[in-house]
Amino acid sequence: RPPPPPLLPALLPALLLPLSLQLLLLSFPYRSTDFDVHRNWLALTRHLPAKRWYLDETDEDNTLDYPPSFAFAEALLSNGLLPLFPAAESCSALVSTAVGARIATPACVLFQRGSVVLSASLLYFPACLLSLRLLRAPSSFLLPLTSSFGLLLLDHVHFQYNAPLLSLLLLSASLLSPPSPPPRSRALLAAFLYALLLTLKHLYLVLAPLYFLHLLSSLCLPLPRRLPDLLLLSAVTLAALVPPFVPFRSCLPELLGRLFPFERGLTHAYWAPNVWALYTFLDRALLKLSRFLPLPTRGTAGGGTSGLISASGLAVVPDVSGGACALLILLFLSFPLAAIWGPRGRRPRAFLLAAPACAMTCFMLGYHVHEKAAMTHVLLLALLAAAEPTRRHCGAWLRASAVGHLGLMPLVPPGIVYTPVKYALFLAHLLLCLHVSETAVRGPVLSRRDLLVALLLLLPVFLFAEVLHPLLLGGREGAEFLPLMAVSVTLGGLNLAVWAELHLVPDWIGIVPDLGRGTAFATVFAMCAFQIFAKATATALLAVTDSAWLWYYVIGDYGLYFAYLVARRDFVFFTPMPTAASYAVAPLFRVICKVITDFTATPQMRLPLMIGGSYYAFCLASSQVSVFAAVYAYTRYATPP
Amino acid sequence: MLLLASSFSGSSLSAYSSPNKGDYEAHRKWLSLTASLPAARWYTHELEYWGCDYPPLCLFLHRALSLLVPFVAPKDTDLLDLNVRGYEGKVENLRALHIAAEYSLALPSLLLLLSSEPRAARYPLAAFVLAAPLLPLVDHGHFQISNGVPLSLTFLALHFLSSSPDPPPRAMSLSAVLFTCSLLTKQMSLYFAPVFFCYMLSWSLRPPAPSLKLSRFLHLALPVLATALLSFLPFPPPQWPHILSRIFPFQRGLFESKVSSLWCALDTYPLDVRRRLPADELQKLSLLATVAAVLPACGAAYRLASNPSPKVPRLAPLLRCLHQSALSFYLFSFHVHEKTILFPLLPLLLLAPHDLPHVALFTAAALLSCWFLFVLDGLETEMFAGLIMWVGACCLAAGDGAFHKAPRKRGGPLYELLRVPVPALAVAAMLALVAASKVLGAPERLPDLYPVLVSVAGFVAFAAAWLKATADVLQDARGAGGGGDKKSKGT
Repeated sequence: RPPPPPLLPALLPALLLPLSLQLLLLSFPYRSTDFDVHRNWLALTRHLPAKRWYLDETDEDNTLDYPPSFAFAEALLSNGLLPLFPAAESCSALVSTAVGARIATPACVLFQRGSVVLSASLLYFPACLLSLRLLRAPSSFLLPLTSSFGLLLLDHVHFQYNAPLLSLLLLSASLLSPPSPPPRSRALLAAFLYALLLTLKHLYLVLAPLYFLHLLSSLCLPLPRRLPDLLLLSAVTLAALVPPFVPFRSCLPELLGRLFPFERGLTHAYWAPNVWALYTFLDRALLKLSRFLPLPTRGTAGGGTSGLISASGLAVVPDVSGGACALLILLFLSFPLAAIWGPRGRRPRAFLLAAPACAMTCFMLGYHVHEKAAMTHVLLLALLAAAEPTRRHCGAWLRASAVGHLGLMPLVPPGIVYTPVKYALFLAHLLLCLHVSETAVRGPVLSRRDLLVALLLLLPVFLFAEVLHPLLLGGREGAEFLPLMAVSVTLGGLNLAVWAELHLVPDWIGIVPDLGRGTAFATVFAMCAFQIFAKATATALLAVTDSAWLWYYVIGDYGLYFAYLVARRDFVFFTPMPTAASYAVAPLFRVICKVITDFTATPQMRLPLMIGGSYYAFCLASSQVSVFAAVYAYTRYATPP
Repeated sequence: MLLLASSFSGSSLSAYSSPNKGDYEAHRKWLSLTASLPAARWYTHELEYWGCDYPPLCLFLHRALSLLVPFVAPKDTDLLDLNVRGYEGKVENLRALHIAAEYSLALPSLLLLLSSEPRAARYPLAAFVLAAPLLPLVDHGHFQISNGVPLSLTFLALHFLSSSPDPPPRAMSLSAVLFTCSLLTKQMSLYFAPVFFCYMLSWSLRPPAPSLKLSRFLHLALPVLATALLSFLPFPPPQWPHILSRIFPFQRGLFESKVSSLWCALDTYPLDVRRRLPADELQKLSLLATVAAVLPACGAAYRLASNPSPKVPRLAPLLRCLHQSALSFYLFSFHVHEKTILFPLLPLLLLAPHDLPHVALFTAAALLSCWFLFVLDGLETEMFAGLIMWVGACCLAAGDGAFHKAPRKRGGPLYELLRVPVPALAVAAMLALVAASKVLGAPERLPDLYPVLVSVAGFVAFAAAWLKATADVLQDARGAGGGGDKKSKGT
C-alpha cells in the first residue's frame, strides 16, 4: 500500500487563500433574491413550530421548499447562532415579501454572509481535505477544490449554501472510490451520508440510481448469501431518510408539493445550458421562420427567458413533458450505469468514473434544471481528476468546469463592479486548475482546439453579452434576452460536447488513434469515402469494359476469400445455431461481411469474429490497387460507345 | 501563473469591495478640475478644498482619465462636476477607471522588468509582487492612484538602466526621462532619486575618452530638463514657485499621524523631540540624517555603474540600493506618511527569491504599520483578508522552486538576527497590539496608545530592515568595486 501523499504543505494556502477571498466578498454589493429566501427561512424556523414551516405563507414568494433537514439546519442557525448577534436580530422578522426585501440591514447581511463563510470553513474545507486523503490523491488538488469559483459565486455572491451540501457528496463519493475496494463499513457510511444529503436538498436525487445500483452490486450480490448486508444497508439508509420527515407527518402532502413543483416548465428562467436550451432555441428560430415558411404554430409562445418562473410554451416543436424527460434520462443513464453493474463495478474507481457522467446526464436532460446544478458534475470531475490525474480526466474536468462556470455568469448582472470581479475570479480559478493539472499530468492538458473555441467562440459571445449588449442595446425593447439566449445556446452546445466526452471515452476511434475527436472523425470519414469511391469506380469501369471480366474478378476474389477462411478453419459464422444450419447460412453471412468491408471499409469488420484484421487490410489494399488495374483495363480495352 | 491568478483576482477584489472613500473626494475633484478649467488655474483653484498638491504629470493623468469618463460612466454626471461637494454617489466608476489605468501600466512594466528572468520564474514573481496586499489597499481602498503609476514608471526606468552592463546612451536617456516622469507624477519618487542620480553620474564619467563623457552627460541632462520644462509649460512661469511650494510643503510638520519613522519613535513619552527642539532645527537634522543614511546606497550604485563587467549582476544590487535609499528616506526624512512605506516595499518584493522570509515579514510589518490608517477608512476586513492572503501566498511561494534561487550566504550572527528574528518579533508585537486594540479598546487617558505602540514596533522592524539593507548594500559595493579593481589591474 503506497503511503498517502503529504498534505500539510498544501494545507495552509488552500485554507487561507479562499478564506481571504470569502472575507473580501463579505461586503460585495450584489446579492440575489435567494438571500431573502434564506432570511425568511431563518424567520420561519425562529418563530413557528415545526408543523407550520411548510404551511406558512406570510412571505408569499420565499416559502420553504427544501427538504426537512435543511430546515432544521436553518433552525439551528436562527435559534443557536442568531441570538449571539443582537444587532442582526432583524433578520428573523416574519414579514411579507415586500417588507422583507427592505429590512435587510448591514448587520443582517453580515450575519447571513458570515454563516456561509463559517459553514464553508467548518464543513467544506475539512471535507475536501478528507476526500483527497481517502482517494490518496495529490495534495495539489486541494486548492482548486477549496477555492472553487462556482461555489464562490453561488454561495458568497449569489447567496446559497451549496458548499456544506456538496461536502457531504464529496465525502460520500470518495468513501466509495478508494484505490482498493472499500470495506463494508465505509460503503455503509457513504450510503448514510448520501441519504442525509437527500434530506438536505433533493436536487441530488439525480445520483440515486447510481448509488442504488452500485451499492446493490458491490455490497449485496449474490443476494441469498449477502442478505444481511442488504438489510443493513436498507436500515442505514432509512435511518437517515425517515427521521427528518417525522415531525412533518401531518403536512406531508404539502411538503411534497413544495419539494416537487411540477408546474414550472421545461426550462428555467435563465435557460440552463443543456439540451433543452438548444431545443427551445430551435423552437424560437422556427417561430421566426414561420413567417416565411408554412409551419404549424401554436399560439402559446411566451417569453422563455422572461426572467419569471413560469411554464414557457414551445410554439413549433413538440412539447416535452416531465415523463418524457425522465425516460430520456433513464435511456442515457443506462450507459454509465451498465459500466458499474456486475464485476466491472468492483474496479477501484468505478463509482467515481460513472458519477460525473450520471450527474451530467441529468443536468443535460432534466426537467426545469437550474444552471447551478452544473456544480455537481464539475466537482465530481474534480475529484476524478484528483484521484486519477490523466490527461483525459483533467481535460474533461477543465472543459466541464470552464463551461459550467461560465454558465453561472448570468446570475450576476453585468456592471462596472460585477463584470471585472467575476471574470477575474473565473480566469484565476481556471488558470489555477490548469496549472495544477499540467503539473500532475506532467504535460499539456488542453489542446489547441480548446484555445480556439475559447478565443473564437466564447470570447466574442461573452464580450457581446457582458459589454457590448448593455452598452449598445441596453434599453432596446425585445432585445433584453438576447445575451442570455446567446450564452445559453453556445454553452449548451459546448456542454453537449463535454457530455459526449464523458460518455464515450475510447482510446481508438475505428482504426485511428484518438488524436482528438474531430481529427479522428475526419480521418475515418475520409478513409471510408476513399474506399467507397475506389471500389465503386473499379467495379463500374470493369463492368463497362467487359462485364465478363467483372464476373471473373468477383468469382476469383470470393474464391480466394473462402479458401482463406477454410485455411484458417473459420468458415462457420458465430451465430448460435445447430451445426447444419450454421453451415448453411455461413456463406451468406460471410459474403455480407465481405461486401460491407469492400464497399465501406467499416472498421468494425476488423474484429476477429468478422473477417479479421489481416484480411481487412488486404481488402483495403486490393480495392485501392484494383482502381488502377481497372483504369488501365478501361483505357486499353474498352470500346468507345 | 498560479500566484498570478490568485493575486490578481484578490487585489482587484479587495479594491472593489472596500466600502470607504478615503482620498476619493480629492481625486474626484482633480478629475473635474482638470476637465473643466484651463491648466493655468489648476494650482490656484479653491486651495482650501482639496487644492492640488501633486506634481503636474499627475494632473495630466487626471485630464486623460477625465476624457475616458463619458465612455465608462455616461450617466454619472456628478463625476465631472466641479461644484459637487462630498459626493455621495457611486465610487465604483472612478475606482474602475483607476484600476484599469494602474494595471494597464503596472503589469507590462513589471513583466518587462522581469524579462531577464527565466520564464518559469517570471510569472510567479510578478504574481507575488501583485499579491502583496498593501498596494491595492492604498491605491484603491484608501484611494490614491498616485502610487502605482510612479512606481511602475520607476520600474520601467530601472529596466532600461539595468538591462545591460553598458547601456547605450539612448537607453540611458529613456531611463532618465521615465524616472523624471515618475518624479513629476509623485514627489515621493524622490526617495529613489539618489540611486538613479549616482548610477547615471557614474555611467557618464566612465573611463572612455573625455569628449564622450560630455556627450553622455548631455544625453542625460537635456532630456530630463526638456521633460520637466514640457510638463511645467502649460502653467504660467510666475506660478512655478507657488506650485513647488504646494508640492513640497515644509510647513506641514515633522510627520503625519503615527508613522513608524525615527522621529515618531523619538517623539514618544520620555523623549519628546518635537517639544525639545525647534522645528527648523529638526528640519536640518532630518536632512542631515537622511543624507547620511542614503550614502551607502549612493556609493554602491556609483561603484556598480563604474564596473562594466558583464559578469556582475545589475538588477538585484540596484533593487537593494533603491530599497535602502527609500527606506532611509522613510525613516529619517521630514514629513513622512504611513503610506510611503510602499516605496521601500516594492523594490524589496522583487528581491523575494533571494530572501523570502525577510521579504514576507517586511511586507507584513508594512501592512500592519498602516493598520490604523485603514481602520479610519473602514477597511479592517479587507486588511485582515489581505493579511491572510499574504500568508497563503508566501506559503505557496515557499513551495515554488522559483523562490529558492541561490543558496544564501549566511551572514554574521547580528546580521542573521536582524534578518528574521527581530522583524518576526516586531510583527508579532504589532499583531498582538492590533488584536488588543480590537478586544480591549484604548484606555481613556491615552486614546492613541495602540497606534503609537504599533508605530514604535514598526520602527523596530524597519530599523532592523534598514540595518540589514545597509549591510547588503555595502557588501554589494565591495563586490562590485572588487570586480572593477581586478579589471583595471588586468588592463
